[in-house]
Amino acid sequence: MTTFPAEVADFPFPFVRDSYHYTANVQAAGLAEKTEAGEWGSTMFRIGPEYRSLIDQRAAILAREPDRAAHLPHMRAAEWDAVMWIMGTMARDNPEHFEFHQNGADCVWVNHLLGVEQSFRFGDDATLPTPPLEYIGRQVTEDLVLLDQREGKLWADAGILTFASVWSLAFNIGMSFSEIHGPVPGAGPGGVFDRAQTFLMRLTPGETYRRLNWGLQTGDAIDMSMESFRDWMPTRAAVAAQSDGDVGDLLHLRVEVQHLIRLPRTGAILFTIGIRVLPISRLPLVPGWAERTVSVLDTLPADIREYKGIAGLDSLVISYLTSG
Amino acid sequence: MTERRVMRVAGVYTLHDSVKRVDFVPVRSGSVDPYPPGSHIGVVWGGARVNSYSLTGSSSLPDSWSISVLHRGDGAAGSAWVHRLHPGDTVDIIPPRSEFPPVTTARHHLLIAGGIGVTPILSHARWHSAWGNSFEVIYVHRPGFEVHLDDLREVCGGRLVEAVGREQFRIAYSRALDVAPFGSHVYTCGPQPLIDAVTAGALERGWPEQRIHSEQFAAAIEPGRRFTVVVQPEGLRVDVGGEQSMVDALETAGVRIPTMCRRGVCGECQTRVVAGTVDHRDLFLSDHDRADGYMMPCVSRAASDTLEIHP
Repeated sequence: MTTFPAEVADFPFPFVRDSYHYTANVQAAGLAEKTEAGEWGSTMFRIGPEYRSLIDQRAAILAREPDRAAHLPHMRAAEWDAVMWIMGTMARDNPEHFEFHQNGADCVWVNHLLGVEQSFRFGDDATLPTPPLEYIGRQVTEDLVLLDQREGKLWADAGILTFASVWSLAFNIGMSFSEIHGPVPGAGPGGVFDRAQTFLMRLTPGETYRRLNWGLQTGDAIDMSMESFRDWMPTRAAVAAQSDGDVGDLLHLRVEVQHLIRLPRTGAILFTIGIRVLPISRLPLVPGWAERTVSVLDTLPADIREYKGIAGLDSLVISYLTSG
Repeated sequence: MTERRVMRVAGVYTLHDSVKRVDFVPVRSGSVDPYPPGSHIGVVWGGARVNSYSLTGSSSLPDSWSISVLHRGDGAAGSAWVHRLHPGDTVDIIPPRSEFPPVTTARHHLLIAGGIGVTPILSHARWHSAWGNSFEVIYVHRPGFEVHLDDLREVCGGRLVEAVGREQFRIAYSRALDVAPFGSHVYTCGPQPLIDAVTAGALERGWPEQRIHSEQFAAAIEPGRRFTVVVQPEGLRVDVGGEQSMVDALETAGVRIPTMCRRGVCGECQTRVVAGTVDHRDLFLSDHDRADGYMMPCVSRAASDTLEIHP
């Protein structure tokens, strides 16, 4: 039996078939998904070898750009709802690293990895050092968005986003779900995002789902936000210019593991985005991965390629994977 | 398949000649799940029948799922069944559904309870009080029907107005509308005439419909014409009487359709129609869903003499 490197064995490889379909591709969360190399997804919050480093990166980004964490005032209850849910979930899924004790409103949170022990009272902002969502957001590696449901729509009204692709919380805060997804091809009436919104609005309290989103990037930077545009855009130009070089370790497949959770106390939807990147050079290690990547990129409609911002990179990946 | 949980009756309390409060806790020890204010649970009785009741306790940090049930003398046997429960009994419960939540962005919440409609309003009031939101409650009831009045007084303090009878309510509501700040939302739970009066009063003053919310507690079936349902693939024929809902008739005939709210709201009983014309009365299906041949048989009926379904 072949053993794969750790970052390959638990990589959420997104291509399960040979051609491209833009669907909501939503499935129940919290179950391990088998791949040809191993499995991923048994827990909703990833505690990998890079945990500490990502937590430090997030702290540095927040110190530099504090508006990467934002919330509208009416989201206070939803933030507390998210805090309780995330802490309970992390302690249940990784009891060796986290503890969460609750006695009525009195709670204690212990994060052994970061050496944190915090007592607080549910609903009492003064008992935490930062706003509630930011507090727990600084101890997970996923970006977090809270969506409020009213007037038959979802609204992105709070969040902490330091990594997600081409998102800007300062720009998106307070927007409705359809405004945020405006640029996606097929998002118009009856389109995939209308159906996704309808699906989300019908989730019952406590229900959890997940989906994968993918892209291509140059370099292994996790922060691909709008705010860091000037850092990552030049590396793209450099790689795109290097048409004959060995780009297998420079080009990366970027996968977002997204979770959708209907929080129990408020009915707000918690949207989490975990980022994984894998050098293209690793794909040929696993039977089928390189072939499926090539055929998906080959069949990608032009408007989706444009939306994903991978035009130019896709042809480099195809020629790298097929030159072998 | 709808999730069901076996719960134990932890306590039964008589709140009025006709109203009992019943508290449910998990059979095995463990915490009670929280829920959004204004949620209801489904109590499963008589094998497959489900009655929905609003939860009245602390929604954020509950120590039980607590309902208050009015014993109805109109032949709806579910409430009588609940009144016969004793501490220690076990009951199948469909976990909380939220279809009447507060709107987070409201500047002020005007809550109106009519009679036993006090149950979700009490849940809202507890929530607003805990989070320091701006709110007030008008509780209109018959003389002597003071169910949860003490709880409301404790939660609301000076923000509670009691109204005994229609005229007192009219005055109290009119005054509340006079002073409600721009951006207020109104929520009513009670009999249909109360909901209609509240809605009309707010619309007269130019409130947009999105700020007017209501939950009708009585699962009253609006009468309609008699029709016949043909259940495919077996071809079983079931007659539905004018005063009967389609799901009730199907259940009596042994055809089980999963249900929850029985008010055309939750979406649980969505059923595929293969022939015939539907008189849609639900609030759940989109025009698109209806055009695709779906209906909600808990409230909707046939507009033709027969309706063919394929559950």
